[in-house]
Amino acid sequence: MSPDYTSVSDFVQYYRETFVPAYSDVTSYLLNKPEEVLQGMENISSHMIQYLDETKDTAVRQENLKKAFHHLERATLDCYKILWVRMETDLIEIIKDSELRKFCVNTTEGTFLENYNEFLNRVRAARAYELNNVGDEISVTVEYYKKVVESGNLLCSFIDKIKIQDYKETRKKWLKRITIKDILVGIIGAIAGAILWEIARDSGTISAIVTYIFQK
Amino acid sequence: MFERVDMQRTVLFEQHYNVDVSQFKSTRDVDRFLEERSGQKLGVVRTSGNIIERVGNILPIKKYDIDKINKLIDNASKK
Repeated sequence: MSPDYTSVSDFVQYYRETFVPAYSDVTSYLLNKPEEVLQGMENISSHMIQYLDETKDTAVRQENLKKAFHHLERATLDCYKILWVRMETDLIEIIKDSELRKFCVNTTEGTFLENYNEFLNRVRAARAYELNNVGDEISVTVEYYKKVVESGNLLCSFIDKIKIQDYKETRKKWLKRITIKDILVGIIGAIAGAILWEIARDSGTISAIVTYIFQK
Repeated sequence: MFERVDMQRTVLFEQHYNVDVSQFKSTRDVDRFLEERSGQKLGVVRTSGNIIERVGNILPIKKYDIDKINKLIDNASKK
């Protein structure tokens, strides 16, 4: 049911029952407060101050309450969008790396990819709904994005962060070992080549080969 | 058919901290709780700037603004 944008009790209800859960999700995931959401809250308070100003006309005050409500809805939507993008950033690193995908998730690679596709399908549906309903009330759009975040959360729960850390450290160690080995082989090869060259030149082998080639 | 979502429940906050979000009446309550649990003051993630690392996270995190986010969503939709 669509909220009454001119009702304070609907505003408070939406704040407590929809915005606070969305804000808790994004803040706990980031362990930081997203600036976009804080800007939304700033807009809400400036409209609410206009609403509380008794010297203003009732119509003006109601209009400000309505605007504050719309900002609140948009701030809620921003919470889920920011969460989506952060989850996608975390997930894409796993998706792109076949080793991470195989060894660092606590499910089969197929299930993980299937769920990732579902995550993308949901964001497609959410974006399509959002674009087809520009200007309408955005409560349903918020629900669509919440569903996206739910599937992202499921995917994130498959990721084994300890395994990733171990894998990254091991990979770094192996890369270091390979690099050192390659450098040593290169140096030894160069020294051995120089020694052989000197021996061949001193023994007259080089000049004998050169003479043989030119005589032919 | 679009399945409705329970908007009063959180996706990860309640599950992660084993709490009931209805006990949190404002964003200030949420901030205080997270600061207490994480032992650090919550900062503000700016919408522009360099790549930052989230405390306790081993994967790098970027900063985005909403227009950029919409573009990213559109790009992902084309995949």
